[in-house]
Amino acid sequence: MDRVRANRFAVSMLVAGGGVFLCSLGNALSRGGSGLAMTAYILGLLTIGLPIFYRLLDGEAGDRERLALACLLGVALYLVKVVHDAPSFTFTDELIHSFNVEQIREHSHLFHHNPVLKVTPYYPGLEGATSALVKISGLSTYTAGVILVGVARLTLIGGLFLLFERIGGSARTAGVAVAIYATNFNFLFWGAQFSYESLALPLLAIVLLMLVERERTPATVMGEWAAPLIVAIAAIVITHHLTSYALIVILVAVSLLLWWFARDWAPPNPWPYALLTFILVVCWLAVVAGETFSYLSNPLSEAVEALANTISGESAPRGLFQDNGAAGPTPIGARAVALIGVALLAVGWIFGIRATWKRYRDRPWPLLFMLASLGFFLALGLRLAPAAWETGNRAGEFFFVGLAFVIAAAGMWELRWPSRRAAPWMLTAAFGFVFIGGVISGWPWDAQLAKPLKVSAEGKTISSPPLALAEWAKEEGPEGNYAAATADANLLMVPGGRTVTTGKNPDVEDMLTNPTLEPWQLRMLRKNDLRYVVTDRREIAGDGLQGYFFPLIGDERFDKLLFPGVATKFSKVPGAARIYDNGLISVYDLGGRP
Amino acid sequence: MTRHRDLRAIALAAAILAVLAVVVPVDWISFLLLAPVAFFLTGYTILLACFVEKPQPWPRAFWISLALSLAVLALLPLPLNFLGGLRPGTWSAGLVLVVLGAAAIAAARRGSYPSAEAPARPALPRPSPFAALLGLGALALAAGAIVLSQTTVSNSDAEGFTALWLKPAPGQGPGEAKARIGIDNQEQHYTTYEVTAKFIGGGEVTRTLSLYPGSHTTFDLAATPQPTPDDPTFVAVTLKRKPEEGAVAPYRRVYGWIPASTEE
Repeated sequence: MDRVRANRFAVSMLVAGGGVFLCSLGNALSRGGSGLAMTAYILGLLTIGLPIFYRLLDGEAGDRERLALACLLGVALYLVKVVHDAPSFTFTDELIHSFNVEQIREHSHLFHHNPVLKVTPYYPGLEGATSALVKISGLSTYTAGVILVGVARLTLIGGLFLLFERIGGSARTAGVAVAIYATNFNFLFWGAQFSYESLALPLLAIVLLMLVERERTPATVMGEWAAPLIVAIAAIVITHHLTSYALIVILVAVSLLLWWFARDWAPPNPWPYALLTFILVVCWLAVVAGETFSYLSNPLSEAVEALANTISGESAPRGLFQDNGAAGPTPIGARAVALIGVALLAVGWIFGIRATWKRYRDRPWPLLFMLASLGFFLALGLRLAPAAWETGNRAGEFFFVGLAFVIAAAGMWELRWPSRRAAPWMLTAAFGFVFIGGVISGWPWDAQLAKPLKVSAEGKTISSPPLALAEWAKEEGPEGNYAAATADANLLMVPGGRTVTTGKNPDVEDMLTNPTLEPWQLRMLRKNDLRYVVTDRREIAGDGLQGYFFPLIGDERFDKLLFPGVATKFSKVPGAARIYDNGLISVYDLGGRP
Repeated sequence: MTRHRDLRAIALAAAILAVLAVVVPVDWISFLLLAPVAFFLTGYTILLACFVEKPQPWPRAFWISLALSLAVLALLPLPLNFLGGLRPGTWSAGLVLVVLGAAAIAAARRGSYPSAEAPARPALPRPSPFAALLGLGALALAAGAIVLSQTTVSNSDAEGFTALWLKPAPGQGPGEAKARIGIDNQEQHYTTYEVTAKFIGGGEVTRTLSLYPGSHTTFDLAATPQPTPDDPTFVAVTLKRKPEEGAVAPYRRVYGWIPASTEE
């Protein structure tokens, strides 16, 4: 990078830093209840995204500068996630995975039971890696997790840039493609959380890069790629189930496409790696992670059934911007931006698919990306079926790799515009819509900004009701098994350090929301050795994303209370003691009478 | 390996850094020592062991090294789990062994490739003072953002509350049982409480106390009558906030049994 470009990049860094600060300010204002919070947050996101995209469009930027800009975008957006909830994890999956790390920290071994998401200890890649930092350096699980996912994010961005550059033959296309990838619905929050996919997806990007580079290696030394590929594939298999299955699908597709063009299964056709991945996945399922079948089969079969019901008209389609939890409504303006963003993606895709076909139709990887880009729009359809929403949302992150390349390959900056100077400005404006639209589509509107988990009062710090419960459990709560609603359960695990059962299996959820005490409830509690029951009258306690925070006066989501019976019914259990009461939340000891 | 200065330097650096990371007691310094080994050197030496004749060029080598290092971090716990567990020593030794093993393979393979190219050195950026200043400004803004995100702010709309809890506690003498009562003030303001403990078949004790927001207190009350192994003492504890003195319903209520003997 020459001096002028280095100076320009430094300016981009400063501006992006300002954007991150604005987002942090937005979150702080939100925690304090200020109405200006969302404005500061959106302004911060645009301050990060728009200048970087504008510069990536610039024909004068150097190749290395483009890579640096792409990384800057990735890191800055990751920091937006970090400042959302520092210094603690507040997303459901993060608390579940940090519980696994705490188990490794305590026992120095893998595969300890996780009562909330039973499958997670059997994919120990993320937690094992985090434990290295935790064990050797003594960092907290939160700090080590944030650093590890940050490094993984950087790897994802660098890997995708080099992949796109190699396939498209242009650093400009690569830079723009990475920026477009950063607009995918799950990039800002879901993909940046402390969860196993956040480590597996970057490894997948690097596997794809290595396969593409391997194709360009002379046949005599192609075997040199074997060890790095095997190491990366094995790491994906033990880190995340869905990513390893996606890798099998991708490898099979690439193998078939390469065969289609060459009519030859000889190297560089990657079928041996597809087979290897398949064997590793099957072995892992058979030997270690057998729980995965039941974990994945239920939501997938529900998704298929819901899709069929929606198509046949048996059930009503799911409304867009409708969250499964207790999220508030998305404002009409935000919905419009999200829909405009999707429409602009579709327009870009139409241009891109033509250009990609014209330029690259004799190459397998661009064809794969074209298929993936189509898959993205098909997956959008899944969002209309209630139980298929999550499947569509998760699949979109993988398909978006193809979509980003296809749209960037359109080379829209080279099209005939009314004014040549207007082109980058208009494209940057379109990027702004797609970017903010993706942010809105990917995360509930009222969870975009931080909420008060702790509040400053008369110079001291007070904790929200569920956090106070977790702090009590850690310091004074009895050992034993607890039953609790999702949000309470997550905090009771971390930082509470307690073993908690929640959700539908066993049906703790219904027991805690039903105002009457029924015999099956006591049988279930006894059968699962659940001695301590945490009752919570807040309806929002069942929401693993929003149930952790202070109730706010005038906020109707917190006014929704369950019947008093959900709590008082346990006082009728013979020998039950109420050992903790903070108003909304109580803890009953069903074996209270010795 | 001794003939290959780059491999020797990597192996030595990895060993020294990994040992220091375990020994140094300050977590952040320990992490800074560990980071090059954990996030780069393991992957890079694997790359050097694999690509001997024509090493991978920068920046590709950097990104693949980063990914392979993450892969090693993910995979290494599996053998460590069965070889002494995931402890600072085993982790540190495991990472160093990966580097040493890969470096040894690279050295051995280089012997069979006389025409092997030396790995290129990465062209590190040399920013101008202006760029460095702006870069520092960016870092300062990012650091400020993180500090701000960790700052607790006030919010008058947040509904404060008080928690009351109860658990058995051992007494001073043998066989003496007590009830431990805890009050946790998470109200937005300094609050005075009246706590009443009523022992069934025994007495009633009332305490008045005041707490600042975010503070908590506990006190033990001897169970009256003292429980026997067959007959635990039942106690009901109620808490009222002081301005609510006249209120009929207590603000918080807990109850339970105090067994004959309790270990701390």
